[in-house]
Amino acid sequence: MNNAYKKEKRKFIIILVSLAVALLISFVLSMCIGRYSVSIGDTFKYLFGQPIEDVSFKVLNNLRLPRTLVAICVGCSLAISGTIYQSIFNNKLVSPDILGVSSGASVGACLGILIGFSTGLVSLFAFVFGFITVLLTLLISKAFKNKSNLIIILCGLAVGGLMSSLVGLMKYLADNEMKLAEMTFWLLGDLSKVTINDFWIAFPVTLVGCIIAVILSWRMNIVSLGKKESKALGVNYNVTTIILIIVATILTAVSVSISGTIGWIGLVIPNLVRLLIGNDNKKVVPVSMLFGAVFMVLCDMLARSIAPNEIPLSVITGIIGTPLFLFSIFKRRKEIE
Amino acid sequence: MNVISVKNLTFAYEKDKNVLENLSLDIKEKTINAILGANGGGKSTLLDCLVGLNKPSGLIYIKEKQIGEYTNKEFAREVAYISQSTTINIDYSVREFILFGRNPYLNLGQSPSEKDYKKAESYAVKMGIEHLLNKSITKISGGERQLAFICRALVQESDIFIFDEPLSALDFGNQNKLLMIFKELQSEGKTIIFTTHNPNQVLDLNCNVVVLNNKKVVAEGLANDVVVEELLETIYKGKVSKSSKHYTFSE
Repeated sequence: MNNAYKKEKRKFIIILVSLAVALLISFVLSMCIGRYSVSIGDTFKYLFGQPIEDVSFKVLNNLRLPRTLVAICVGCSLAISGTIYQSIFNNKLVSPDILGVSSGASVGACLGILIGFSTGLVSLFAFVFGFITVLLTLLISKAFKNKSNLIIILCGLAVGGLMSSLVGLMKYLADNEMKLAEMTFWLLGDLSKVTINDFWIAFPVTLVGCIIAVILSWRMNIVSLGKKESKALGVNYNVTTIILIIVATILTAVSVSISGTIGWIGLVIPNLVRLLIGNDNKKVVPVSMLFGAVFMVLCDMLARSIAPNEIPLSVITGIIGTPLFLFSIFKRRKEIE
Repeated sequence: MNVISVKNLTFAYEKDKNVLENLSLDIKEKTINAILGANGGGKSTLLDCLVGLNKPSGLIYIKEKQIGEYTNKEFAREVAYISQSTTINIDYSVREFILFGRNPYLNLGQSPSEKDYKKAESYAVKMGIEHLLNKSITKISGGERQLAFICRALVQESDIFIFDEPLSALDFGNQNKLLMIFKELQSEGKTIIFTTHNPNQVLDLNCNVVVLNNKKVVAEGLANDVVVEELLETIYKGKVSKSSKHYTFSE
């Protein structure tokens, strides 16, 4: 019993280091694997700034590096958002889209595509609409004058449903040839068009979001117990919750605006991590970040390499995520009664 | 010295429907205090006012300082509060749950140290729940969960303990254990306030009692002096008679 602290700490460090190594390996593999294969030797030469063959350089520099780095940011962000929302709402079945951020972003993106905006503007529209949708959810829930989290979740479902209908309307209005295909691909998630500029947008947001999430990770435990318990334990529930909702919403909105909607990560990764390391968010948050990043990089690698044409990311995350989610339910089946 | 002083407290959840009206109350340090009253009599509401969860009119002083002047953390260091019903869906281990009681001593970004773990474990031994430490808080019995909540309050190491119906989910043995812990805390200089609707528990303990009825304090003093048949009949609205067929643990 006396060694519980050391035992838990050792397990946490081993898992963290293992995932960091896994992330490094998946990063290198992601740089090498794709329709145009690059050798590991050339990848390392590129990474250490040594000259390599021109085609390989262009593939690594213009395509693989931005794509892999953005995949890391997106995986990390979605996994943390899921962890945050699940803690705030004291519910492990909550995903980052619970307040309607993804469906709102989808409306923005589809509208941008329908108008004929460039990729950058489509992303900006997605971000703005995603954020506005969450604000709308929170405003409507405030009108109910009931501070229960369930009201916020139900308002999120209602607003999300409305946004999905608007997406349907825009798909109906889009011409079959180009815009509908573009919308569909965006709605299923895609990293094929990202550039290094996208990384420079995603990276600082992800970094700041991760730092705030890590700093507040212990308090997320307390907040998950509700307002009364938070007060009893010396935590300002309202302030902490608002900061966490803003962080989770910005992380999701930025990710979705760059990569399109990618399902399952925010729901599955925190649940798998909790199976691995327990429920203390002090450990769940950093492990989820790394796990989410590795998962996303591997999914993206599969999306571009298992078929002649690129497969949308949500298809891959769904096919892999579903059995993993069922596995996590199976492992916890005795707890669900 | 009064550790808690309440002056002219009035509180209503809905406009013009006062639950507590013009209530005044003093709690002395190093005492055990039971708040006795019928179901729905405002006991929990009063506790929620004392810990700042309800915002009543009137004044509440904790250790001669108004509750509004405390930061959340400062307040949690002075007062450990366990409410009546908390739903937990995330299956924290009992150890993790007890460690939450160390939060008032942790800075932003900090988490419990090895010392905190040892503290949590020693209080778990004291409560007799050390065998539950690795179990999930959602998967233990109601009584065991109640003991874990109380253990969390002990880990908070405050001077004032406020418990809402702490004995209700406990079996006969654990009720006695908790009452012994109350006495031990009192001998360590702590003040305990708890609510109950069972007058026999208050009489067994012979602690101070504050009786709530009709939105007001109707009696105050030592249990054996205050808790009498007429009072109980008024509060619980029925005929009451004293019986000796009543088991208690001997000292």
